[in-house]
Amino acid sequence: MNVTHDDGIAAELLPVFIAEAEEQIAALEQLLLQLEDTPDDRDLLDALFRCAHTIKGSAGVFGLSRVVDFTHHVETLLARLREGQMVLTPKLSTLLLQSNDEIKLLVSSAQKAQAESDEVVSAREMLVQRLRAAAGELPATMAGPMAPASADASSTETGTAIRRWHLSVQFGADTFRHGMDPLNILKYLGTLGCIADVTCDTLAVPELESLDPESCHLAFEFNLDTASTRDAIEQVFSFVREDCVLLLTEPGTPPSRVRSRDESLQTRVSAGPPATDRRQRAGGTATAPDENGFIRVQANRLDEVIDLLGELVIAGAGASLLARQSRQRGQIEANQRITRLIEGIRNSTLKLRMVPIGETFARFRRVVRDTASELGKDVLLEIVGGDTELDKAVVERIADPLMHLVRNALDHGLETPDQRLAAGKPAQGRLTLAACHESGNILIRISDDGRGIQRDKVLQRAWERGLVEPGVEPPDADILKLIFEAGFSTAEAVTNLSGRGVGMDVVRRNIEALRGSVVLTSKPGQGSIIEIRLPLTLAIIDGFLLGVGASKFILPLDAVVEVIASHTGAATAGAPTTSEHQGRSCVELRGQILPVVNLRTLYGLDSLQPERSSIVVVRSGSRRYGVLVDVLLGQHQTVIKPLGLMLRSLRGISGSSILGTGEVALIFDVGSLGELASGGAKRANATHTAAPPRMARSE
Amino acid sequence: MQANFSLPSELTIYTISELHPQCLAWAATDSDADEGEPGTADGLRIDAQAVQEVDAAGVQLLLSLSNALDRQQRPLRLVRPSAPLLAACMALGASGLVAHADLSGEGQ
Repeated sequence: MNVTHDDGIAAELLPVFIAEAEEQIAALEQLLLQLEDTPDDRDLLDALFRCAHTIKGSAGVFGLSRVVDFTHHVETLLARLREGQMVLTPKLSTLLLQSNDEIKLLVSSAQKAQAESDEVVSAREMLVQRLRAAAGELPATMAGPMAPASADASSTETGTAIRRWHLSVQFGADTFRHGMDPLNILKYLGTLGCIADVTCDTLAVPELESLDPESCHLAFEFNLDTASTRDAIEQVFSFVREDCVLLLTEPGTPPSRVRSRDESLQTRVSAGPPATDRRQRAGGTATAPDENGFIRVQANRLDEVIDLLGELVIAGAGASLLARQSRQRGQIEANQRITRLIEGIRNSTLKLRMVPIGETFARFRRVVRDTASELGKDVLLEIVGGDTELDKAVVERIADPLMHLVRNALDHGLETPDQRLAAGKPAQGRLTLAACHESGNILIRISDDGRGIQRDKVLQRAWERGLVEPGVEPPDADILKLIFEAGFSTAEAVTNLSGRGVGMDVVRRNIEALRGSVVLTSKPGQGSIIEIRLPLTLAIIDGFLLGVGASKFILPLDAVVEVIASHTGAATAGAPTTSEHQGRSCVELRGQILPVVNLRTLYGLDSLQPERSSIVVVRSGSRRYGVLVDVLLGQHQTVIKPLGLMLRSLRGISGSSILGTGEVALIFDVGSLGELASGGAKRANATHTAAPPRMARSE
Repeated sequence: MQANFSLPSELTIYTISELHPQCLAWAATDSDADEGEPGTADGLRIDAQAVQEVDAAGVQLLLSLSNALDRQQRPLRLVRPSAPLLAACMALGASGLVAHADLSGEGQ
């Protein structure tokens, strides 16, 4: 965020506000959608109201009048719902969702102070009118549409009579340091009503010589004419509640003054929990955990730590290698301790980046709702395993492909209620988003109970598009894979939803760019399942280091099942067959055939096959295969570096890593190496038998 | 009549620490240097027309300066206070600060 200090503390804290407001907006949306199922749920209604109120309140502190004005109307309507004066109809729900979108827009544009076009303003005015109409007659004391938050929604319980409150407020010494400006707070208070007779206790300000100009010594007394309730007035001070002493005198009772600071500290307003979390976050003091135990940290700082950690892992590996070579016991032990600690730091640090995927899934509720109603379909979205965690970078980059797949399922997979009833299925379709961990990967499954994929139609299209020789019928599993080929689209009519030029091939490419894989299965008439497997993190993994000749390779440790000894010739007895030329062979393992890939042949490594070698058994999804290697070099903390352009087309390899010696090791992509092992990618491997060049670390 | 000193355009928590020593220096100037007859001094005149940004911390510093000058029987006279400064003083109930302001800059 490029906000300079000159823009003031408010500008510096604006990103914090925006992040918080975005959370509230997302929560609002989820609550609205939940309410559609249970329109009378008081708790949900209360939570909904609180969300809107919080957005309005904090926007007010930042002087974002557009957000305050608009959110106020939403809040009024929500208050009516909460009071039970109205019931949430689907129409109302749609209006509130649209309004929520508008709040989102206003919040996100809060950082740009540019003027709005007339179009935008009038569109918002339309929404306001609809909100006002929906909320029924507005209280008579409110004049004009722009009457600011003078009728705080909670005031409905006491009517809207304007009453005079006397306020006596003494700001704490740290008010300025926490980024709060009493001037802004008083200004915002002014939006609740009319402030009169402000007096500042000028004598409380210390002598010029002894004044710490960054400490706040201001105390004020004033009257406030407002229809708002005590809660609403106190809410204005929520950001400084910890710092200030506030005395709010009921209308009709004689005003009392804030007495000495020490004395009045005992009489702090105790309405509601102290807003410590808010203040700490808003004050930018991200070091103190709030009541939920969360700390806000800028993502780039975290990335910096992880980058450094990567370097530390490499340097640590170098140091322990030197220690081993020195054969000095003390040194070796010291290095082992360091290595263990680095490992611990690595695991804890990577955990910092882990976020539950549920938030991403929850975003689809709205998409499913809107899309389904647009298409005249009735769809129930089920979310399973939303608390499964994965790297934030992966979550962010998987959201778009997921969105596309969900839309596809809604558009092509699920049928209309009539079609479903005709097919003997319940009218309501079911779409399930599930996530779970599976051997070092995360598995995301999108399943629907729609019509499934028509194999013949896919084949027909593939013939037409020249993806398959006309007349040739590949195996069923391969036919479904064609959907992910570039230039394939089964949409008979290009609808608004899919067929917008983003094909399934883009989805596949995006997933593969994350070192993931996507598999589609489908039963005609019963639905389809799309399974996406993604690595948990993009940065560092536990690897298993292998050597073939002078080349080093790394397998993700989670994928390794076991290691078996292999004697030369066992796998390659007799005259080499075609598949052996391509590095493929088989061994028998406990009565089962295990396909084995010979790296030396596959990558054309020019070294002699040693007498003894090992086969590492690897698991990839539901398959197992073996990798024939010369030496096992053991577990290795692997910092993943991207492959250079030249090597990116190399099959079976997903990245590279720098070893402690400065050598480069190539990291296997378990999925695509498995295809090579079982001969599933005949076309590809013929062109990719280039030896991995021996590289020195270039810096 | 010229002002003796002038306030910067930003009178906020960010600039306040730099301004504080200046205020101390201003308060320590000889009141004879003020314009007008000694004893019946017009007060310390500070040009405030440049102030564009002001917050409560800024107003607090001015209040402290004003208090210090009052003890010297030497009112603080803000010359041509800008609209943001006037608004902030009014909103914070520090109208005393601008009570003696010289709005025209012409002096008396």
